[in-house]
Amino acid sequence: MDRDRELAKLAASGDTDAFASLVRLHQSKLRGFLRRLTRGDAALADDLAQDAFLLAHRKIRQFRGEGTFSSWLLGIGWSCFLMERRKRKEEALETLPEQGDASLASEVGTRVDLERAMARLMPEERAALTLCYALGHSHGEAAEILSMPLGTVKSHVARGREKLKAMLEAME
Amino acid sequence: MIDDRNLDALLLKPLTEVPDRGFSARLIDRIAERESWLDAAMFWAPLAVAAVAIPFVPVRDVTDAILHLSPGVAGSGAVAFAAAVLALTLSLDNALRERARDE
Repeated sequence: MDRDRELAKLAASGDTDAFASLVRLHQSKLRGFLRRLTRGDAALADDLAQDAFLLAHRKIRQFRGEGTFSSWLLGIGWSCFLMERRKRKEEALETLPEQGDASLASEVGTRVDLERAMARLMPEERAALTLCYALGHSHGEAAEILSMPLGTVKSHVARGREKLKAMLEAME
Repeated sequence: MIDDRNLDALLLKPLTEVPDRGFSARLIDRIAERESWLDAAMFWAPLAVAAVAIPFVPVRDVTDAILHLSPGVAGSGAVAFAAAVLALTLSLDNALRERARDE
């Protein structure tokens, strides 16, 4: 978006208010994405989102506006998630018990089932499916955000879909 | 029964909106805090280095060398030319930066 580019340019010249506007515009998307990656652990997702924004602020001059600001930010968020995963030495984000996301409690039926099933996928599958469906990115954009080859993203999407389908059928 | 269409419809639902609840404000406060710390470090670090280094600087030798060289430098055409080129380069650079910022 042009407005994002304009704000990023101002932020790069040291305008903190412009960066604050970018944070307000994109916090929900990034935190939502990270909540799904951390299987609903809102506190961890918010810590990662904070790290991602701090990193984005430090590197804002590197954002050249070739892709969208949102994709660039999601890429940083994904890197922060991977660093956290490495820090926890795989103990981790995959084996931690699922957190009850309060925002899901009010929702019913298939949506909750989807979140439960999503939580059992590999993080790469969760990330690829979320980017390509819920966040509306193309496979190519998802490949850039996740720094993966296009073919790998496509297989994560296909494998994730198959697993989800099987899990949701079993839940019925 | 979940078929491909149902699954697509489920997956395509946008993520639940996450309310800000002070997240942005806390983050901006942290950035401001970090920046003021960095500004302070940038200001005090050179002063601290200078304070430590000054006792070891041979001030008398440096003064003597300056006094010895100044008349020659002041009368040198080459130095005057270099200074003029430097001044022109700096003002051109400044003008270009301002134009890029305005665009």
